[in-house]
Amino acid sequence: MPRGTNWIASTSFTRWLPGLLAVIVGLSLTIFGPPPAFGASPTPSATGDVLASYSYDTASNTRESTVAAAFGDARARSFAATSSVVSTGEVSAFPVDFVAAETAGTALDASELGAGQASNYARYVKKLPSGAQDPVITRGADGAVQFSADVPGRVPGSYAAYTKIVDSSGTTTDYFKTTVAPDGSIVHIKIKFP
Amino acid sequence: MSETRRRRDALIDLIELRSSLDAAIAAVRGLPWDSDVDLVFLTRANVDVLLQRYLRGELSAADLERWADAVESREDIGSEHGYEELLRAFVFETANPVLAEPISDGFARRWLERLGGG
Repeated sequence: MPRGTNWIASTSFTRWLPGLLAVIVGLSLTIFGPPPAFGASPTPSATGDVLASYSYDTASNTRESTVAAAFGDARARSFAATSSVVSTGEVSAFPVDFVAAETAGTALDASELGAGQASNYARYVKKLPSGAQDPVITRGADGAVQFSADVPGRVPGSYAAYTKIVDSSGTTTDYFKTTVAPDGSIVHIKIKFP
Repeated sequence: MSETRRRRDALIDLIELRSSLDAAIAAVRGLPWDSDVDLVFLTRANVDVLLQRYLRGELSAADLERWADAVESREDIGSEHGYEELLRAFVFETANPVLAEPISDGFARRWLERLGGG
């Protein structure tokens, strides 16, 4: 792959990635039915460079609701649980524990966190890239909380969302990064942990 | 070997790329995420070596992106004192070429200049 190529650069895994994705998508469609309502089903691009790309109804025209639409679909969640690509950390949908913005309820203040979660939150904020916007804290199931902060890209409208899920004791259970293009489409989701 | 020592060795393998990139990333992905302290520090010298290897063709742009993504935001990796912001910016731009600019020879040379050779 020539230097300077954008999007997900190809490595040796791209040789087998399209085939693997085809199998995963095929199995998911068989098990979970037709593609989710939020738009086109996850499919590799024609070049194989982009692992997952989604089209959206742009009626809402906001970044939050665009992303939330993908999170809220049960079939997408099931897909996520089976589609981790460990060698690159990329997946084709969001981790199953993700709290959809549309179902998250009221955002929490950092002062409402337990001691372990507050300590984790401080570490999360400290390690965010420069330029990160104020994180949003939402409550998940069983006392878990989710931290998420957007970091704008150089191209207006593009950004990366750094999202961490922490259990009730303050232990990190998930950390992933969602890269979003200026048109609102998801370029990729990269799992950082586990 | 203690757990902390094993963890530190795996992190050093990654930031210094002492082993293959795949092996280094796989090892670090097996580590816990949470850490109250920085167990290792990314330095300008580490980045210098990495960028020189890229310019020699030993690493691809995709390799650099994967490396930076593995390093980015880890709670157990700190940055060289006095250069925290610069190194964080380097890691962010390298881990997110879609948001910044494509990784290229020019990108590498500009960062080598900004980092001052470490």
